[in-house]
Amino acid sequence: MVSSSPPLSFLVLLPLLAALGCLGPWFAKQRDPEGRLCRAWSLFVSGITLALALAIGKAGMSEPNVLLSVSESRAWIPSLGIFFNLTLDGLSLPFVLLTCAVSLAVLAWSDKPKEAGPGWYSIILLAQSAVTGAFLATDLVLFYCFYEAMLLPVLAAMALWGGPRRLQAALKFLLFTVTGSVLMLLAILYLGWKGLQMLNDHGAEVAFAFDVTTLSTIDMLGSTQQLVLGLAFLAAFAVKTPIVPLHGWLPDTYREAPHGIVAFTAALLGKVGLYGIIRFMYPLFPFFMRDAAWALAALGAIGVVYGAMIALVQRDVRSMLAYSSISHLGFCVLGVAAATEMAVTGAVFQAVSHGLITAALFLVFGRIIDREGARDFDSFGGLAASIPVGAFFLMVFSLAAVALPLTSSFVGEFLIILGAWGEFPQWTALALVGVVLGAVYTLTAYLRTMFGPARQGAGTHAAGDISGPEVVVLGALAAAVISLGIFPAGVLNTISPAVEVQLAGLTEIQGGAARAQLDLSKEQPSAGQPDGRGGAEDQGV
Amino acid sequence: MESGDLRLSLVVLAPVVGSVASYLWGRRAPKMAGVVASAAVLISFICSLMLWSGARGGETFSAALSSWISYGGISLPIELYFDSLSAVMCLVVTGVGFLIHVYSAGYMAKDAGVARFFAYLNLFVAAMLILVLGKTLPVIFIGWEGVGLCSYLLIGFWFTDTEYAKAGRKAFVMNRIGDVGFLVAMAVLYTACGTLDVVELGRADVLARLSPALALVAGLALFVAATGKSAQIPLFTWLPDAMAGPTPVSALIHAATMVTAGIYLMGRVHGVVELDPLVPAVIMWVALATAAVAATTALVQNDIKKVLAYSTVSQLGFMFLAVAAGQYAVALCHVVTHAFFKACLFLSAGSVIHGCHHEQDMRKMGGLLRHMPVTAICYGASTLAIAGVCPFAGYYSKHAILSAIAGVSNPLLVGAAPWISYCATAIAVCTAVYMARSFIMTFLGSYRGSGHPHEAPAVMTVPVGILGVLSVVGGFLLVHPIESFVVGPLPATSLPQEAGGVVSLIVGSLPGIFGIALAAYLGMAAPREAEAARRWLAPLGRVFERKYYFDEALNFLFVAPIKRVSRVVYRAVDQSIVEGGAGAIGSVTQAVGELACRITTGQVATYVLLMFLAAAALFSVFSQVR
Repeated sequence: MVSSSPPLSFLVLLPLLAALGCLGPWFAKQRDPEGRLCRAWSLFVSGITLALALAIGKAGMSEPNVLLSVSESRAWIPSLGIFFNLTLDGLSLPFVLLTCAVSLAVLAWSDKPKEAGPGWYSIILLAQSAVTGAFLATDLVLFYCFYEAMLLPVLAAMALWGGPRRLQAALKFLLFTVTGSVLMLLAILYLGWKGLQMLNDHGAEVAFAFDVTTLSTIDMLGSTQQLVLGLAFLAAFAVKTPIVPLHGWLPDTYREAPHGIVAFTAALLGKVGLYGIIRFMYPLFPFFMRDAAWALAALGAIGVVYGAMIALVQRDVRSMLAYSSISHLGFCVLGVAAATEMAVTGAVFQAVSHGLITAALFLVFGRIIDREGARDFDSFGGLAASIPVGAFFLMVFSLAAVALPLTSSFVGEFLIILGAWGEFPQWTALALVGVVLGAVYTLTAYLRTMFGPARQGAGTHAAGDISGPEVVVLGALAAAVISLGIFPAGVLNTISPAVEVQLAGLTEIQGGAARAQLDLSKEQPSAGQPDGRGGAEDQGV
Repeated sequence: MESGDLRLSLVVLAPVVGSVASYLWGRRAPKMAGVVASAAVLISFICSLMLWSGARGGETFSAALSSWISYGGISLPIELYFDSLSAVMCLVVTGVGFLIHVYSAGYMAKDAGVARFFAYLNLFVAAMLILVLGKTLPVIFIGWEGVGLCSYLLIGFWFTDTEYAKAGRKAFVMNRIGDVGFLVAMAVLYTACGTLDVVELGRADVLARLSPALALVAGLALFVAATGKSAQIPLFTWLPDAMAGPTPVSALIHAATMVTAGIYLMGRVHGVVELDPLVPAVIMWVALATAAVAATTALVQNDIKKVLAYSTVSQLGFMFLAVAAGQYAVALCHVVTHAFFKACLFLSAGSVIHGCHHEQDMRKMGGLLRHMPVTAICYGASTLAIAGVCPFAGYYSKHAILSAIAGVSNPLLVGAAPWISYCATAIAVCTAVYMARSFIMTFLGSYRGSGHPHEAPAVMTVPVGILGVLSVVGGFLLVHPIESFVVGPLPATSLPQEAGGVVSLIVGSLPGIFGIALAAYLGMAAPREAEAARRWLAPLGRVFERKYYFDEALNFLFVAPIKRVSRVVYRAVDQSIVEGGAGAIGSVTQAVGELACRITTGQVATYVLLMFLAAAALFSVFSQVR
């Protein structure tokens, strides 16, 4: 472990302080009527944070593409073993960068609710801070705090500036997620208590009782305990991701929240759930994860098809995007459940890629909804001629969403398919049905929005095309999606060793026969390719 | 990771750069779009020629463009590989592609979207070249999906017409179904063999790692992929609809190159395809059915492009017949000659449509021989070529296919081989009939349309003329003798020996000559008998017209049920998940106090309980299983 200078907490603190700054009197209405100053300020801080994350990541590379874990530890409530422990490794780095990038994109996107003042920027920066914290925390209590904190800005934004049914949607969102996370909190408390006991028994000093790394090394849970605690954790993460059938909060939230907040939520909040499974559940509950893999994979594959089928019959743009998210995340769940290095690496990559793509889709469609004053596909059509730039970007991101090769989502999906086929061929095959359905609903959405004769009416003027800062935002996101699609190796090399570390506990318990099989499947690629690349796989362990 | 042969990289990169350049330049100066795009393809063609001279001697070239999915233990760079098999495809794609680009510069000159058109067209060439040059299956898949994308964009090129846009979507989705086969094949092969390199997948020791069941799955999955791209039953109905695109697109993508990708794929991984004899047997029957269905459907079409589209489907069926017989080089031969004469036919048809003021109905044509002689001669030559009349190009490949079927050695097919041969010969007659019919309706008799038809400008007639010449001599000069056409990557061609001399040439041409004579007799000499025949066959004709109701059947069996089930699931299942519990909360929000009561007394607890019950049920199930 390397501890970093500048410390990791800056990644959390910078947006937090900037958010408080947004609310100061210097950005008040009379001084800054258009909110330009405030926007510039928040963009500046968010940009700095992104640069800082990149710099810390870069500094932590021991050699090209292999990231050592960079960590920071401060005493918080030492008497209870609660510490302010942050870790940036190959698993969290992609998610942290995604968080910074999506926040920057949402801040830079100039559409915001009419009545929102500096509070808009403040809320997004707060959300960025909390999500970044959740991706960095390795102390369970700290993680839980960030995990709950990231709900608040989203709820506030939804309640303040959402659609007509915003209060119901916000309440539903709150109920679903809190129900899940309360169970997780109980499990965390039990773990900490147990960990404290174990550490005391071993005569160790009281330290890091809630730290996931420490907890996972002291092998203290029987399989029944793992089952109960694992279920509690899973409840929280499954609601957040969401894993079908616990997605009840999602359609309403995505329909009612302001566009920018939906882009943020869709891109990032669900990823915390996936990340949590990999970061916490594999090391803490390897037995549970081994036994639950089958069910998780099934739920993932069913989610792919289920989400795609329902997206197929949606007439509301944002409902379609909501269910398409469920479908895409089903692939990630399948990859995570398969628990092979390749599938999990693919799932992480796919999660990041989905974050970039879905944020862009929500932003572009949000612009179209505002422009047309309607959110139904039936009232769109023939827009390609009047908003050519928007049509171009929507095409790029639609194609990326259907995982066309040379876009980032193909890399993720392909790795998941290859990695999961050996474990769960039947569920992988089922998920592949979603590949066809995904093409159907995505292209249908595009067709109904952009193609066809230009309509006569209010919405057909040339104004409202993507221009100015939006072109920069979408251009940057598109560049990221395509360059990750053509040159993913660097990122994959960063993720893969960290994933192997997370899966180490599981690999250990997989007994003789399973181990032999694993070795065989690892052996074959190098045997098949006599160019010597096979040797590289060991360096990450 | 730049390495390997620069010329090979240039083959692919030239049209990629050309695509961007022709769009940017073409937006300012529309005339330049065609020039830039054609030049880019010409560069590719020249580079391919340079490499081909080396590849003929058995040399191979490779070049890596990106390390792509290479990390840890997996190595899948974007690597190009040039051997004598990809050489043939490369030359066809770039050579015929170049001619079609030049032609398009004339055809599309007045279109407002000309810059976009050439950007797509160049992008297509690039994707097709990646497809035929990919060293591993995933790289081939890049091109495979890339050509599908360009096809989608170009079919729906005139997107303000919703029907055209829908035709594009249909093509993409049907291709996607095939792509799932491709993905399954890759997953199976990678999991079992540990490699996706096409050269490795030809080695016996690598293939031995596949269990018999997996070999069958992989072979069939690859064929499913091929049926999508190469328009075989049941995934063929997108191709006739694809005629919504501009005619040069039909010539390049939907006749000469993209649709032959399935045949190329079969040849590339023939080791996998042949592992289980059931796979070639399935291919044989599907191909025969496709060829028959498409040929009979073409008999009754009145739209000149539709005739050519069904003819393409039918000829692709012929190519798969050769694949099923294990004679991949013969199939590839037909790919080459078909590229010449079908591109020529489509471009001639384009000139006709252009000259007749966007009329596609052959009933409103006729007598065009006088108005556009060059086009008529080229169309006529290609008609003779596709009919398989010696010495035109199609004779060599089609005759070889018929011989290949007769000499099939697959244990599951040997018994049926004579019958398959008869059927194929009958389909060949059919081909000659519908093609001759289209020639007669379009170019002979008297003009039945309105306005004055005119010959196309030189920028269009010259490429058509070159393709016309190739349709005449291409077979004799380029693919003859077939035994030495492509050696090395494909298994050696062994056709039954037959008596040489003029007699065999005439006998081989008989199906074509007979079909043309029949069409001429019915179409020109005996209109009354033709009318009688038409009335007598009316019920059958209706079946032909609706392409055997394949669209309706697919709709009834798959599209409609999926939609219906989705709707039911949405209303019944999802609404209850989304609204069921929380809906109650929603109605209570007006009174916050009441809300608090409701939550604490019911809903949350229900959720918690349900979650645990469901999870417990699941776990008890799989703990039994494990």
